[in-house]
Amino acid sequence: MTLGSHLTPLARSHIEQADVVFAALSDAIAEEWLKRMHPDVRSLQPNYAEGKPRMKTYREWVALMMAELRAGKRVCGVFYGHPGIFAWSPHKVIEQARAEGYEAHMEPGISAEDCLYADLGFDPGRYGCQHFEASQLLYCERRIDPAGYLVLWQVGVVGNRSVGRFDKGPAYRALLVERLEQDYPSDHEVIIYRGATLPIERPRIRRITLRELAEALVTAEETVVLPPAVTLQPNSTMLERLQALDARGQAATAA
Amino acid sequence: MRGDKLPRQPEAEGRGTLVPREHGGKGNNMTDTIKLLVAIGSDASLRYASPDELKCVLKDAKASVELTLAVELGNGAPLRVELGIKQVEQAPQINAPGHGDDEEEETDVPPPEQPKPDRRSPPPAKRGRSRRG
Repeated sequence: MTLGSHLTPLARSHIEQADVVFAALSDAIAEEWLKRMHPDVRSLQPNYAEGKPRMKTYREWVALMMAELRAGKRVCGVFYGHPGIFAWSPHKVIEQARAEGYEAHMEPGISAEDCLYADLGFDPGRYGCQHFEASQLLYCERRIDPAGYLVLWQVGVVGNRSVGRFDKGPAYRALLVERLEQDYPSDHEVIIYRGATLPIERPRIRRITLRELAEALVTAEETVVLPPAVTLQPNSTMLERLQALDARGQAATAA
Repeated sequence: MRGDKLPRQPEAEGRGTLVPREHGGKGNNMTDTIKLLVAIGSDASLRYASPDELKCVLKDAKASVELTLAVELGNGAPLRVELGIKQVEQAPQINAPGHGDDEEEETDVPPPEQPKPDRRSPPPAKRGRSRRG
């Protein structure tokens, strides 16, 4: 995620050993850095366009990488954060490459999620943590457990159906707020977070209330976190059954 | 876990591990700034140094005015000016179900029409390997 900090040694080795490198990075400056590691780095960014369907762009990316692969080259795709999270084309190109008999695999990377836990200082294992792409909460019936953390990705483009429009309309976010208010009080804390992509940056952390989220400026790079709103409730039935299992186990040991 | 930051002593010799400005000709500003960024990003004491501490180190490394300003501001805007880079707004890859263009509607990119290699016998590692970074 952060230039100079989060590139794994193995990932760097892949880059250096490749014949051609395709890149979709978090910052244009990071792309300049990448160009110093390899003489043939090709940015995938030019394939984006306002009004152009996203899937068309992603398929073009896959086609570009597959073309080089079929030409006999060792291809490396570099995607910011973890290449397998909120990333269709890396998974797709691996699937297609393998289907055509090529060796292909994915190396995990340090993702925005990893940075989020470190920067916001919470352990997802403590109360549980649900992750959703924000738009999916509007498109589909999803259940939220407000006893755990809720992380919403791509709030800045919520409700942006398909077309490559990069706007951040308050009206769309208002619908999201309405949906969240089914599970959270409107004065519940909401954290808007952006991790550092350059080492001279600090993470950007803003704390507002849920009701303020609709009108708040949320960029495409920012993530929204809702801390737990209710305390965990014990499951008495299961606890009793666990107790019974423990008792049987102890009795078996004693026998 | 983050430990105590190493203090940057202006009088100490050998402070910093930053790459000094390259000599000769018109210099290579772009390289210098990128190298300095990498050095900052990979040095535990520099990565979390205060802006004042970092500016002191950058001064000794003869960093560009833009990089020093970027440190003051805490963002990379001056660097894009220096490097002549236009920041492209990041469009996240959205692929969750429910969007208007689900991947299931799309066909795979077809391979070109050419004879495929005989894969019946175990081949050596195929030259064109797709690797992920």
